[in-house]
Amino acid sequence: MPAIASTLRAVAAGLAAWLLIQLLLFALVHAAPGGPAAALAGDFATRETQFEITKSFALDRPIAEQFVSFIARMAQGDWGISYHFRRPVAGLIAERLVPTLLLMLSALAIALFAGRALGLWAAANARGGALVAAATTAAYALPVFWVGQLLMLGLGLELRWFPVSGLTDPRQTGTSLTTGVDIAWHAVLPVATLALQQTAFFATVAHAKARMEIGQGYVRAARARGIAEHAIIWGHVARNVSPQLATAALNRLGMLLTGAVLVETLFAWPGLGRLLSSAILNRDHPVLLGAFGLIVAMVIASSVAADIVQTRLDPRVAPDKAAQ
Amino acid sequence: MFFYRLLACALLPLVASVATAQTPVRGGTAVIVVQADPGHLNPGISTGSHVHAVADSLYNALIELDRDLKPQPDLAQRWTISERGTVYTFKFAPNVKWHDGTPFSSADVKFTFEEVLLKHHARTKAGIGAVIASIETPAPDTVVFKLRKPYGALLQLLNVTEAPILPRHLYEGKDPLTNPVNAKPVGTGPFKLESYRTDQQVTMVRNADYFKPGLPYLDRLVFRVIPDAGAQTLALMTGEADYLGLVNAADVERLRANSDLTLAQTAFGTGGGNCITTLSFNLDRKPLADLRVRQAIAHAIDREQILRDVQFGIGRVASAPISSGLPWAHAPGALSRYALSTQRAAELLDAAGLAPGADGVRMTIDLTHFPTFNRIGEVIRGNLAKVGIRVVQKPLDRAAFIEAVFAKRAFDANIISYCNGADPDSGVRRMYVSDNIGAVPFSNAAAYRNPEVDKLFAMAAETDDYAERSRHYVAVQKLVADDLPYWWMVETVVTTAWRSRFRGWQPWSGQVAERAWMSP
Repeated sequence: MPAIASTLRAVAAGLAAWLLIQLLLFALVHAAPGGPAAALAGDFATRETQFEITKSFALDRPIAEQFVSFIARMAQGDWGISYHFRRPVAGLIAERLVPTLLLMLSALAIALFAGRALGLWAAANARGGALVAAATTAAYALPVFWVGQLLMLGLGLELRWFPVSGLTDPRQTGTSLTTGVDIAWHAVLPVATLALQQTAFFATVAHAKARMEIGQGYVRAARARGIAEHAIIWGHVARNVSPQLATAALNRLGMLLTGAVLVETLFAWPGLGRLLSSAILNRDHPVLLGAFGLIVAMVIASSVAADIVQTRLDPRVAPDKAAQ
Repeated sequence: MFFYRLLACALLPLVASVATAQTPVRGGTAVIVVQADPGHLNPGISTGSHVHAVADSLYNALIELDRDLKPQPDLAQRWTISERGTVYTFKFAPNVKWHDGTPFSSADVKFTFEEVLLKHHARTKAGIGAVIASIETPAPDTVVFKLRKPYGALLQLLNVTEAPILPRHLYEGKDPLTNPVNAKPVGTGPFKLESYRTDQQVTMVRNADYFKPGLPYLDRLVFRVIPDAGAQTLALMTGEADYLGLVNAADVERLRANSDLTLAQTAFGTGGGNCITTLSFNLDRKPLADLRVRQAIAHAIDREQILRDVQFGIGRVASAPISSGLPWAHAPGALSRYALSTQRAAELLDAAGLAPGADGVRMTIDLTHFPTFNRIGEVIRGNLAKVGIRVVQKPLDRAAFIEAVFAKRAFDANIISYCNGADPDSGVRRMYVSDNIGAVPFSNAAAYRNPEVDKLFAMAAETDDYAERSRHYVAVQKLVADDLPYWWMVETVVTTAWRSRFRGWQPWSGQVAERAWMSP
C-alpha cells in the first residue's frame, strides 16, 4: 500500500514539474529576440508581409491570452501547426521520434552491456583497473562532436566501411527489408559515437560499485568457501551492480538526448534533436514547445521510473523506510 | 625515355576520347548537398534560399539566365519590347504541360503574378510590383506586361528564382501560403517531385514530358540535407553526394588534392550572387554619424587580413561599392583613397574630438553579426583596437539579428553579406534608397539618406540603355564612397565542388539541373 502511495506521489510530483517547465519554456520562447515572422518571411520581406505572418499565427494577441489558448489546446491534445513546415506538430514529432529512439536505445543498450563488462573486469583486475579507469575518464571527456568526426574520417572516408550521413542511401528506393538493412548500416557510426561516451560513464559507475561490493562480507565469505574469483565477480558482484546501472541509465536519458542532438546534426540523422535545433533557428514555437514538452516528459518519466525501479530492486532506499 | 613515349602513345587516344566525351548522356542519379531543409516547395511565396535551391528545379519562368546572366528563352520562346520600353509581349513555347497533365497557358502567368508573386514574393513585389500597370492575356500562348514606366531590369527579373510560374488550377481561390500543394508541388519544370522527407532528402524524377526536347538528362535528382559543413565535405569525398555548392574555405585544399573531384570558384551560390561582406554603420547613432569616424574605421580595417586569414585568400578585396561581378556597373578604384593607415585613422579620430582615455580607448562600439562572421568580427576588433576603438561583438542568429538591426535599429555597426545579384536594381538599390529604411530585412541597414542617390537609382532603373545605366551607377558609387554609409570589405567567391563525372550543373541559374548529366 505505501508503495502505491509513494508511486502516486512521485507521478504527481513529476506532472507538476512538467507543467512548471512548460510554463517557463513558454515564457522563454516568447522572450527570445526575433519572432517567427522575421524567421519565416525570408530576406527583404516588407513590414506588411511580416505583420501578416504575425497576425496569421495570432502572435499579435496579448501574451497571456496566447498562453491560455496554448494550454487549453495542449490539454485537448492539439499540439498545433508548425510555422515552418505548416504541418501538424504531433505528426512531425512522431516522425522524428523513431530515428531518435533508434539511435538512443541502441547506444544505450551497447553502452550498458559494454560498460558493465568493462567496469566489472576492471574491478577484478587491479592493474587492468587503473588502465580502464584512465581510458574511461579520457573517453568520457572527449567531445561527442570530435569523436564523431574521427569515426567519419577513419571508418567512413579511409576504410569506406560505413556511410557518413543520413538515414538511408540517397540513391536507393529499396523494399522494406533492404531499407531496414540500409538504416542499420547508416546507424553504425552515429550509434558508435553516442555509445562511446555512455560506455565510459557506465564503466565508471560499474567499476566503482563493483569495488565497493568486493569489500563486502559476502564476497569474503564466497572466497572463503573457495568459489572461483571469476564466478564471484560475474555471478554475485554483477548481480548487485545491475540495479545501480539501471537507475543510472534512467537518470542518464537527458544527457543521452543532449548527445543525440549533436550526433544527429553531425551525421544528418533526421531525429528529434535536429527538429528541435532547426525549430530554435526558425522560431517555430509550436514545434519547440511540443518537442521540448515531450523531451521534458521523457526525462521526468524516466527519473520517476528510476526512483520506482530502485525501490523495487533495493528496498533499503524506499523513501518511507528512509524516513523511519 | 622510350617507355614514356610508348606510354604517351598508349594514353593519347584515351585523353582524346575523354576530351570528346562531352556529349551529354541520359540517365543516372545526382545527389546534391543542401544545408537546410526547404520547409516547403513553393518558390513563389518565399525568397528563402533553402526553398529556391531545391524547388526551382520543379518550375519554369518566362526567361532563364545564361552564364553571363543574359535572358534566354524558358517558357517564353521569344519576346518583343515596345519602342518606349513599357510593353513586353511574350510568346510561349508549344506543348508546355503541368506535371499533372493539364496544359499550361498565359492565364497561369497572369494568375501567378497577380495573386502570388506580387503579394508574397518579397523581392518581386518590391521590384516589378512597383512598375507593373497590367498583365494581359490576348491568347493562351501570349502574355503582355504593361509597365507604368520603362524598367531596364525587367527581363533579368523574370527568371525562376524571382518569378516562378505556378499552376492556376491548383492555387486559384486558395491561400497560397497554406495550400497543401506547397508540399506536393506541380510545376512545368524539368523534374517532378517523387518524395519529400523533411530533414532527409527531396527526391525528384525526370519529367518525360518536358517541353524542351531531350531535356533533362538525369533520371533522378536528389537534394540531400546535411547540416554540418565537415560532414558535407566528407559525403562528397566518399561519393555519397555528387555536388556541394558551398565548400567550407578550410576544406578547399583538402578537396583540391582529391583527384575524383573538380572545384570551381563562382560569384554565384544558392544564397545569391556577387556578394560583398559589408560593414554597416548606424547613421542614426553617435559617434558613427560623424563621417570622420567612419573614414577612420575604413582606414583602420585591414581588408587584406580578412581575405587572407578568414577567407583563406579566396575572393578579393572590394574595390568599389558595386561588385566587380557586374563589370558594366562596377566603378573600379572608387575606394582607393581609403588606404590602410592606422596613422590616418588616428588623425581623423582626433579631428572628430575622440581623444584616447587613460586606457587608450577613444570609444566603444558594438558589432552585430551572424555567428558565421565571428572571425571577421575578430579581425575588425583587433584592427580597431590599434586605433583606440573598442569593439564588442554581438553574434546573433538570423531571427534575432533581423529584430535587432532592422526592427529595433539597436546597433552601432553590423556585418552583412550584401549580394548584388544579377542586376544592381534588385541587388544594390535596396542598400541605399531612403524609402527602404526600417523593418525590411537586409535592406538599408545604415539608414542612409541622399536624395541625389535616390534619383540616380530611379533614373538607372528607367532605361534599358546599359551605357546610360552604367553612368548612373558609377555616379552613385562616387557619392556613397564619399558618404561611407557602409564599408565594403571583401567580395566573396563561393567554392563549389563536385564528383568529376557529374557535368552540366548551372549554378548561376535557378534551373540548376536542367542540363546536368552523369558521365558513365
